[in-house]
Amino acid sequence: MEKERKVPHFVDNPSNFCPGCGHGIVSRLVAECLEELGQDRNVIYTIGIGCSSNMSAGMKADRLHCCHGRASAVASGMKRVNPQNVIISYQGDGDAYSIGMGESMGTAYRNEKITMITINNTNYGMTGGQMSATTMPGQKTTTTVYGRDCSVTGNPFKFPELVASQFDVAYAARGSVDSVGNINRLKGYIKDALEAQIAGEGYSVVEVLIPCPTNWGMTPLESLDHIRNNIIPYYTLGVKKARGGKSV
Amino acid sequence: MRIEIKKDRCKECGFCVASCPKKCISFAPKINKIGYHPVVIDMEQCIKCGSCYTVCPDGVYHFIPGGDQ
Repeated sequence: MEKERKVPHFVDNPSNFCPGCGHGIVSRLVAECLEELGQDRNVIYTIGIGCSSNMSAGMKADRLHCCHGRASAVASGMKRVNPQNVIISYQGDGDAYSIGMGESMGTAYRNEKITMITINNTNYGMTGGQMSATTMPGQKTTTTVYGRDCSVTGNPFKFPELVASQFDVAYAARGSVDSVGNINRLKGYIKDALEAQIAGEGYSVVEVLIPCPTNWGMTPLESLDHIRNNIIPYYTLGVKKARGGKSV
Repeated sequence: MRIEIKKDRCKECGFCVASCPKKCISFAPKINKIGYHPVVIDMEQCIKCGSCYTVCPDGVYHFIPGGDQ
């Protein structure tokens, strides 16, 4: 039987993202999973500050733009007040891991029953490509013009690995949008994360590696190659903590 | 299966062109409303696998069951 492939109704609008940005793919995948789980009219997003804020422009769902870095904290409150709703905290790496590290860690530490989708493009995209907590060692950005020197800046932050090994969370995974196969795998991770929340198992997080051609100074296709050749070997893909408490 | 292309959303990133297994997607010579060359599909070659839909960040493709093209 032929299957219709259509962008879900509440994100089926023109977006403001740069050409070749991966945000559009991730927001579509989250929406598809919500639709398949029958939760597309039962969701509230908390959205961070940064390029992720642009998602709000093309989305018609309940959502709240939170103070910079505090989306996870707001999501915790939303879930405690509205336990019947699916709560998704949609943030970039600068929002979730730099300014919002405290809130993100606290939410994972308390094992709040929310799902956090973190978009990792290894820089602060919206403000012009400065170094973020996840910038690769040696990567040139507008604030690390000679390449990131980890002896001065500290090492890149691997959030899913950290919460999977240290905290009692329900699910942690990292995916990528660099190929059709990885996008399909990523959809499976997002669905697992949402199901973990719906089943009341606890905190779930999916980090997604996306291209940022504008700030990497590459063409969209070069930026996909950069993810494959340089970023995935460092930020390994896969499930870091499976449902049922198994560390992977 | 029919494929609707929302050409005014296309930003010419080329993800679909690169991921098409039949290499039947190309860019039109004429620009769209937002100033990019939108994609066109050679329907003779297309096998309707849906790879273009999967990789598209801008929701350009809509695969509609029924009909020939």
